[in-house]
Amino acid sequence: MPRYIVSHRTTYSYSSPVIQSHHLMHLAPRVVPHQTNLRHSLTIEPAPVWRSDRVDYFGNPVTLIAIEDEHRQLSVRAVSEIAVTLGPKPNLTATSAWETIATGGNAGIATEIVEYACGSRHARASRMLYDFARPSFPVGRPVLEGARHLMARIHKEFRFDSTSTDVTTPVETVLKQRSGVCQDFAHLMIAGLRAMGLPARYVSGYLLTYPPAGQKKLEGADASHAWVGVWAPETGWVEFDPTNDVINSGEHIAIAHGRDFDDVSPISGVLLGGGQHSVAVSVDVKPVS
Amino acid sequence: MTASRASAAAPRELPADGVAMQSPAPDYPALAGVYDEMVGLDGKSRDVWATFNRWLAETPAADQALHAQRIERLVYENFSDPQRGRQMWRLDLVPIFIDGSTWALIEAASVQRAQLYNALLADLYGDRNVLEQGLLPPPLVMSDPNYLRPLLGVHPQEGHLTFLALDFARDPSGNWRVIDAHTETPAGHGFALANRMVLGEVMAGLFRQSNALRIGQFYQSLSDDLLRRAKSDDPTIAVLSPGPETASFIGHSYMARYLGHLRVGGSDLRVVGNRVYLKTINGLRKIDLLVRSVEGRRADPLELSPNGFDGPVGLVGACRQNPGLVVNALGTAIVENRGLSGYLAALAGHFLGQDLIVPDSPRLWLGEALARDHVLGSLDRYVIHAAQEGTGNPGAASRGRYAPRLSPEDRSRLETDIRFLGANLVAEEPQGFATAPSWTADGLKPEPYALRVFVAAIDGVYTVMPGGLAITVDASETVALSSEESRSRDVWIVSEGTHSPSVSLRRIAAQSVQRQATALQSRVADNLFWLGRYCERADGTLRVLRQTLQRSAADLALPASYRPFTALRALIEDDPAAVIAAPVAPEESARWMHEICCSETLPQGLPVTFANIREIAVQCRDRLSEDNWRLLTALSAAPMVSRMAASHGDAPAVLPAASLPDNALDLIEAADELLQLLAAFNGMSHENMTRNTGWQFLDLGRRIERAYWLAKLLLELFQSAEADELEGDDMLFALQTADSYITFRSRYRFAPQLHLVLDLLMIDETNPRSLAYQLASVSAHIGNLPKSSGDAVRAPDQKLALDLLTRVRLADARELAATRQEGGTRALLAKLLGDLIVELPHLSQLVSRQYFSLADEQPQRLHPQAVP
Repeated sequence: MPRYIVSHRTTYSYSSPVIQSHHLMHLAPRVVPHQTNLRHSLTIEPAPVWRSDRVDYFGNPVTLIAIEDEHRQLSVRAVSEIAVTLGPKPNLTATSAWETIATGGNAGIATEIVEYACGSRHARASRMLYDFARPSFPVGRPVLEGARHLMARIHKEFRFDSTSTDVTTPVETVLKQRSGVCQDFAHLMIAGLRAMGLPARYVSGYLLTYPPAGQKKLEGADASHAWVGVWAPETGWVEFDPTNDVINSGEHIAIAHGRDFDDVSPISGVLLGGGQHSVAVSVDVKPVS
Repeated sequence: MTASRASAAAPRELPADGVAMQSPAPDYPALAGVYDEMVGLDGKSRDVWATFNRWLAETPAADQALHAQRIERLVYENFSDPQRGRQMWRLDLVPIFIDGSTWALIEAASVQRAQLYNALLADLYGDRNVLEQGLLPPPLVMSDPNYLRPLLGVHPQEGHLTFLALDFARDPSGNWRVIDAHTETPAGHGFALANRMVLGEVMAGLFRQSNALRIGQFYQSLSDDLLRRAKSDDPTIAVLSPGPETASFIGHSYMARYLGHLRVGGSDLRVVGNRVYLKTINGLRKIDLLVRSVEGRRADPLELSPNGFDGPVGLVGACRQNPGLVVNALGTAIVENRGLSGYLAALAGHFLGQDLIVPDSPRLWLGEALARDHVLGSLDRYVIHAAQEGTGNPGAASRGRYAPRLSPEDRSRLETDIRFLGANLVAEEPQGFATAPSWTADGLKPEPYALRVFVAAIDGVYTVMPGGLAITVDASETVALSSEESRSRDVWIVSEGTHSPSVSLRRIAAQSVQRQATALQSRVADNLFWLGRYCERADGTLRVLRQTLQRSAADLALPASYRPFTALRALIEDDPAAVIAAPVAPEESARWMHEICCSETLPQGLPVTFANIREIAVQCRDRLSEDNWRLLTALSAAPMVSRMAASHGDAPAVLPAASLPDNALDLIEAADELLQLLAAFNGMSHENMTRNTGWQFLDLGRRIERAYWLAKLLLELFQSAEADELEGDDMLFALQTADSYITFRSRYRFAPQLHLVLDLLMIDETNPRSLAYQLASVSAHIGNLPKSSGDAVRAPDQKLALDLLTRVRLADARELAATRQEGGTRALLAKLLGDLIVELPHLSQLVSRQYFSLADEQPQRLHPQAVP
């Protein structure tokens, strides 16, 4: 069973002092079938005066903190050790025809699954997304076959470009400009699936990366990652990564699930003071032998 | 009318069959086939309108018109929004009369709704049985942005729903339906209260005769019950409302003031460790109960909508700790969803084991595929509305989309929206509305209306306010939208029985104010301080203008270098060095006067000063008495300010005197009127405000501004001792402008001498217009303000105030007047006044920093970081 230590450091620097801040963090790995969470630690500087660890609506561990010390820098370091199990490869062709699941034909599907077919702030249905997703879903195609088709198209037709979008870019813009980052591709695929009436969810986490042959892996060279969960009655949730055109096969470490990025943002917060701020993030995923 | 009068005069106690139907007002053009509140299908007036019909018959048309005008004026004076410069709603002279049996139905239906919605909320934020059991389709709830997921599992002991309002309407055959439920905020109470205040005053006689139910007891009980729920010996209850920039602000702050609670905004509060605190000048003070008048999803930027800063950061966490902290609980807007209409009957059976007493308008939720296909197939029959409107503000509902009225592009967009966003839409065939009489100068006219009914949980029992708010509606619509200037009517419930002892609205208003002796909010202290400063600034500016104009009008031969003209510079220039260094070019003064009267940007000018007064008055609405509010509204309603600007705008070059235009007298008159209003406001706040910390901040601001103004004026007039053939007149100008001429004359029966003038205007502490008097007041106020610690050491603001006072006290008027430098400058005088001009703004800053710094905090959101 492969084990990994994930170290995720975030440092916010402020141009003027922060008098008080509240933060909400999704940094601890959630419980998922193919992962065992061995340990997790969260180090926050300056020390919060108040901290509450809960499980949120979507079943993710969440940490809420308040800092009352005046500060110009916030540093957060999350370290998690996780064992990953490889399940059987899902049989995509054996899943139900997509139209039997789509909204309208979804009576009998549990509420918490139907919820993911409903629009959310960053991923809601529209004519444009429907027109985009439609070719992947001819009548009778198994739902996960359709999802794989859609994933492959996004990978093929879209260019990875970290300068072309930011967190507020709507999927319609991503669709028009045909470029974005993993978060955009995840939102795009989710919104396309929802336009077809299908349940799809956002998964945030990490992806194990390998250095080019013969080179040593650099510290902090990894990054947070985002991909998509698609549901079929036969398989449950299966994870599709449109950025890399792969179905999760043990190199994706999930941290949180939600309707879109807003539900699982690693660190969000509200500050009193602070002026301008900048952020530095480094992620390191290290296999443990 | 004779017949009507005769029968209407019969005593009301007679059994109904005795005088069952009154003849209608003969010229009332009731619509054929449409239910009307006053006139039955047989053309006869309903019994409950008898008293009104008699009043109408006995009141000459001219008197009716006077009443209507008075209503218009009272609504405008009390409840217009001066910041928007327009009236927010209108009130009809004719109330809607509702008889006891009709009211019993409305009351029962309203209580049932409250119970039903409360049970549904508990379920949706709990086990969600209704979703699991198929009583409600999950996407209806899950697609609604008002379903606040972080609140799942948070259960207020006394229920989710404390306030509820329902918009009832009759269809043209007279059957009731509910067209909208407002479960999010107590929207509309402010308007209902205001309408009753105004109509109760103007139509007092009719109100007494008609035996209508009073609404005071309802609010009294509500206010008492909120105190009970706060669970504290010395509770702090606040109404959390959005800011003055929103249309609902006036209504919310009016209700806050009426219930005797503080009105706060999100930035007035701070959450520390799961408790909510109010920022006050004494530091943080715990809040025991928040009446929520902001949208739930905008109430916590940390856990709810990231762009919603209407509540304090961390409010959701505080609610987890203390679920009863916020009423209505966060998340209650979910049951406003219009898509629920078709499911309510089943839900009433499920939760209450009852039939629905009054159903919703028949609506189709377009998240259902069948409904969607049906509506797309016969689109022209339906009005399409958003399922979630998100505001209960009367008149704020948006117009539905009705395909026959749409352009081909809009129609196709509507079809697309129905296909893809159906879960957020409902369709309804317009049902039409019954009418009620509305007063016009040409007699009564039938107008379609909807009736807003208010429910509140009082001592755990849903209680209906015995009155309401009737809103004129567009008969072709399906919801109670209305124009920006909503037409509204008061609602009088006429009961056959005897009334329980009732409390008049005004008596409660007076009582509730005393209930909470709360530490002063930082924001309010800040506002009052600046209200004092701006009022005094306007006063000083107007005084200089008036004296200057009077002189030019009286003596057209005055030269441009005449010093009172140049004294205008004192109003604009804040740097004493500039005054001392630069002589005034004569043509400058004309430009200054123009700027002071007209400039929209000059911070010391009249337009900006009055705009500031207006803005603060709106923000302090809940802290000002009716009278003070009226005065400030009159001041800032700006007919006089704009008159000054207008009469001046075309002819900037008023000065020098040779070119004085005819409108100088107009200007003087306008200045007189404004000064009178300011004097009335000052007098009123001096006489009527309790000497609490709030008053101290108001007066502190006023004193600092007056000292500052006087120091600048005296420096401008007397720092130079050159060419002094006119100095006698300068002294007269100073004495008159500073309102001290009479005092001077009564003391010294000869022409002014400078050292005596300076003594009276600067050093004499018995003269309430002198510098020393202002500084002594400033020092006393600052000494009395709460200090953070019991230090024996004086705070910097105290030290500076005392230092300035001492400098003036120790000055010698003869030396100030006599000592000259080369070049003719009175060096001692210039030094002392120059120091004051520099140090007084500094003192103002010190006060701000010490007491208002908490008010300045504006939270910002951490930029989320993109996931690559």
